[in-house]
Amino acid sequence: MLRYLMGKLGAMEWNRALKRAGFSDGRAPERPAESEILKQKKFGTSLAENRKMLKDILGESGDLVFRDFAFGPQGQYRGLLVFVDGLANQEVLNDNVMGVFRYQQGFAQVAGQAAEGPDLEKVKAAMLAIADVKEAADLEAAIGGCLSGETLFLMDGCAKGLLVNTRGWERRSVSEPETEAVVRGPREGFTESLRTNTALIRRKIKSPALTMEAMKLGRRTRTDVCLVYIDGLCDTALLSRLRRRLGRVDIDAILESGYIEQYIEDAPFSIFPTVGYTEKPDVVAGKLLEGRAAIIIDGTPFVLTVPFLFVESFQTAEDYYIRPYFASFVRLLRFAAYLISILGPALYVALTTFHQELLPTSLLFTMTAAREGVPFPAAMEALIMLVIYEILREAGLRLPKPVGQAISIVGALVMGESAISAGLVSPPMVVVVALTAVAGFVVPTQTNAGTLLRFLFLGLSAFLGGYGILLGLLGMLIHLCGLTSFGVDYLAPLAPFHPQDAKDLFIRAPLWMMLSRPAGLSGRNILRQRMQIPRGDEADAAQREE
Amino acid sequence: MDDRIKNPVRLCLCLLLCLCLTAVGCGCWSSRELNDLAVVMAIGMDTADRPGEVRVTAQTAKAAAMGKDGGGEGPAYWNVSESGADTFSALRGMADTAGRQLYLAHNQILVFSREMAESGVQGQLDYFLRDRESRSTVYVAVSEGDAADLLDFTPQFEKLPAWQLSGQIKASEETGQWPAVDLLEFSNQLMERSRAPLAPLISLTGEGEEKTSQIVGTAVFWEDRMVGVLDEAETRGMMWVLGRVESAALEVPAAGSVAGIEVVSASAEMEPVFPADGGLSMQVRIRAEGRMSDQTGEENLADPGVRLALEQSMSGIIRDEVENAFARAKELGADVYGFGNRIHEEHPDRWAGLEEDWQDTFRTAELELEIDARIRSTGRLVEPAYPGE
Repeated sequence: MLRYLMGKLGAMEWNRALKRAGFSDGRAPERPAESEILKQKKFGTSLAENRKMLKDILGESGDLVFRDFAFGPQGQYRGLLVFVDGLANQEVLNDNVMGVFRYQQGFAQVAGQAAEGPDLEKVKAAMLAIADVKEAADLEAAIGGCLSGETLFLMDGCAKGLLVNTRGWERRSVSEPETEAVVRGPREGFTESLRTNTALIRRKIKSPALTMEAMKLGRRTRTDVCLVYIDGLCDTALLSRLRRRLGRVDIDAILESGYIEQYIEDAPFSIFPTVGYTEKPDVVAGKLLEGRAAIIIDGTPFVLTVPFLFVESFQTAEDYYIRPYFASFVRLLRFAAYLISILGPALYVALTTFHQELLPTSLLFTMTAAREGVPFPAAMEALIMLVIYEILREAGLRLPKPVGQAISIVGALVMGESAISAGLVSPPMVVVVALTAVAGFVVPTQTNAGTLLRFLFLGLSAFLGGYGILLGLLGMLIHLCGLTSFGVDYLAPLAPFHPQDAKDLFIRAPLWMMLSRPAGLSGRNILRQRMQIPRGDEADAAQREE
Repeated sequence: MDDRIKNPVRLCLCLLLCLCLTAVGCGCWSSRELNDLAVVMAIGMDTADRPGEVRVTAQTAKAAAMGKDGGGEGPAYWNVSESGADTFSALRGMADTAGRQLYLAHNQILVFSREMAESGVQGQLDYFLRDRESRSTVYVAVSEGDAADLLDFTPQFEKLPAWQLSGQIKASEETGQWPAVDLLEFSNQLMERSRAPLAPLISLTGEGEEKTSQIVGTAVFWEDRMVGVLDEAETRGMMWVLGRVESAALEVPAAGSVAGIEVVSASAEMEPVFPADGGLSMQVRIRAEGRMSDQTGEENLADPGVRLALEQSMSGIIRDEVENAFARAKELGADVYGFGNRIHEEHPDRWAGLEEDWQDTFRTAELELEIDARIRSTGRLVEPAYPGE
C-alpha cells in the first residue's frame, strides 16, 4: 500500500517537473545517456582536433592539465598529456612518463618507417616505464580514465590514445575502525580506496577462486563497485540475483554503500536491515568463506555483505577468536541486551501502570515513593526521557571536540541529576532509560531498528499494557518470519530450524565442532573441515604409533 | 519482486480491524498510575454495631513513608474503617474516605475478630475468594480483641503492623510452633467438611508505645465457626502429626540434667485402621531427627548408651505432646488432622457411612502412636568442654 502511494507520488513529481521543462504531453522524451554519446565518438589523427574535442567536453576546469610536448631526436613528434592535477601522481608522471620522453629513450623503435608514421604500440612497448598501460578504446574510456587519475597520452598522427595508470592521491591510511573495535583480533579496517580494500581481502584469502567482478555504477559519479565472492562456494542463484539488482540501479550518484544498499535490499519498507555492512576485512573474509558475497564501493570503508540474516547482528568477529565458553556467554548477553533495549521502557511502564501485582511489594513502595510529586504519567515520562536521550546522542555525534566535553557534562548532570531534583522525572525512569540506551549499542547493526521499536513498544504498552507488548512481539515475530534476504529466510537458522547451524546461534560452539558451512545459505561445499578434537599429547602419541 | 503486497486495501482493513478488536479487549482505562493507588496491606473484619453488618478496616500504606529514606513523621500507614452489609459494600464505601482506589493485590493478612469468628466467617470470606485482585496467599488470623485494634500499633522492626503480623506468622511456622494458614488453605480446609480449619490467634499486648502483637494460640473452627483454642503445647502436638514441624527445640531431661535437642527434620504418616471389634483407630508414625544443640550437665552425652536414653526421652516428649493435643482435639470435637479425609482417601466405602456423624465418631477415635526419634549429631563438640569424671 505504501509502495503504491509512493509510486503515485513519484510519478506526480516527475510529471510536474516535465511540465516545467516544457514537455507538455507529460511523457519523458528519449534522452540518451551521456556515456552513450561519448561512446560513439573517436579520436582523429590530428592532435589539435583531438585537443579541441577534449576541451569542449571537459570544459575549463582549473585542475585539468593539458601538457603539449615534443619528443624525438629532432623533436619531430608531438605528444599531449591530459591529466587531472590532484588525481595523478606527479612523481610517476615526471619520472616515468615525462622523463622518458625527455631523455629520448628508445626512439629507434618509435621511429619505424617514415611511411608508416609514429607508432603508439611501440611507444607503449618500448618507452613508457609504467606497468599498467592500456589503450583507450573510445572517448568515453579515455575521459573516464582521465577523471579517475590516469593520464591520457595522445600523439599527433595517431587516432588512438594510451591510458597510463598514474593514480595517486591523498588517502587515509589503514587504521582501526572506530565502530568495530576489538580486544583480540586484527585492527585493520577498510579505507575509502577500492584498491586498498580489495588488497586487504586478497591478503586474507589467497585462493585463486576468490573473484572480484568490477563494475561502475552511478551516471555521474561513475563509482567503481566490486562484487567479491568465492567461486564454487557462493550460490550461483544468489550471484545472478545480485547482479540483476545491481544492474537495475540507475541513479545519478553513488556516494556511499548505503545508496546501493537501499536500492538492492529486499524489504525497503521494513525497519530491519537485510543487507549487512562491516568495516573489517576479516569479517568480510569470514562471510565470504561461508558462501556469502560482498560488495565493495569506492569512496567508503563500509563494505556490504549479502545475504544478511537477523542472527548475524549478534555475531562479531571477536566471537571466533576467543574461547567458546566466554564467547557463548557474551553471545547470550547480546540477546539479552537486545531484548532489554527494545522492551525496557515498555516493560517498566506496563508493570507500573497496568500490572502492579507483578511487582514485589517493597519494590512497589520504592517506586511509588520515587514517583511522588512527579507531574507526568509514567508513559509520558518515559517518552520524554527517550526523546531527550536521542537528542543527546545525535548532538554528541556532531559536536566539535572542544565543545564536546562541556556539553556532555551538561547532558549528564543537568538532564539527569537536576531533572530528578527538580521533580520532573523519577530516578527509576532514568535508570531504565540509561540501561536501555546503553544496551542498544551492544548490537550495532540493529541499533537503528531497535530505537524505532523502542518507541513502538512504549506506545503499545502505554495503551494496552502487557497485552500490548505481547501483541507487538507477536507482530514483530510475524514480520521477521516473513522477511527474506536474497532468497534466504531472515530468521534462519532459527526458523526454519537447521539443527546443524544451531552451534553458532545462541552459543558459539568450539571451532573444531563447526564442521559445516551454514546450511541456510547455499548448501554448496558443505564440509569445512574434518572432525579433529584437539587432544594435545594424546594426539601426538596416537600419531607416533601410526 | 517477491514481496509486493497483493491487496493493499484488504491489508489495511485487516490491520484496522485488529486494532479495533484489541482496543475493545483491553485498553488504557485499566491503567492506573502508582500514585493513584491506596495499597491495602492488611484487612480486619469486625462485627459492626448494627446486627448483620460487618466493619471492615483496611490498612493502607503511605508510600512516601515506605520509601528508602523514610520521609515524613507519623505512622507509615492509615487505617480506614467502614461498615456495610457485606464486605464488598464496606470496601467500596471507603473510597470517599480514602480518596484513592483501594488496591488489594498486595494484601498481607486478613484478620477476623474473635467475635466474628465465633459467629461464622463463611459469608465474609466469599468476597476475598471471588475478587480478581485479591490473592489466596494472604494469611488468615483471628484476633483476641477487635481486629481494628490489632492493626493499630507501632512495630519495632517493620514500618507497618501488617508486615509484623505476617512476619510473625511466617516465622512461627518455620519454627514449627504455630501454623501459618493462608486463605487457600483455610478455604480448602473449610471445603473438606470433615476437617476443622485452623488459624493463629493473635492478641495485642503491652501499653502505649510498647504495644505489640503476639500469637497466643491456635483458633480451631468447626464448620466456619470458631469453637476453641489450642495452646502452645497442644498446637505443637498437632503440628507433629500434621508433619509441619520443620525445626523445633526440645528440652530433653537426661542423666540428671537437661539437653537441648534441635529437631532438624520431622515427618508423619497417618493411617486409618479399623480394628476387628469395631471403632476407629488412627495409626500415626512420626519420624524425627535431631541434633544436640545444648547441654547443661557434665555427662558425655555422645556415649551410645546415653544417646539411646536421650532418644527415648525425646520420643517420650513428643508422645506426650501428641497425645495431649489429640485429647484436646477430641474434646473440641474438631478433626484438625484431616483424619476424615484420609479415611475418604483410603476407604471411600466406609467413609460414606461415617461422614454423617463424623464429629461424634471422631470423639471416639483411638490413637496408635509410633515414634522414631534419632539424634544425628552432637554439634561441634563431642564431649562438653568441662567433662565430669
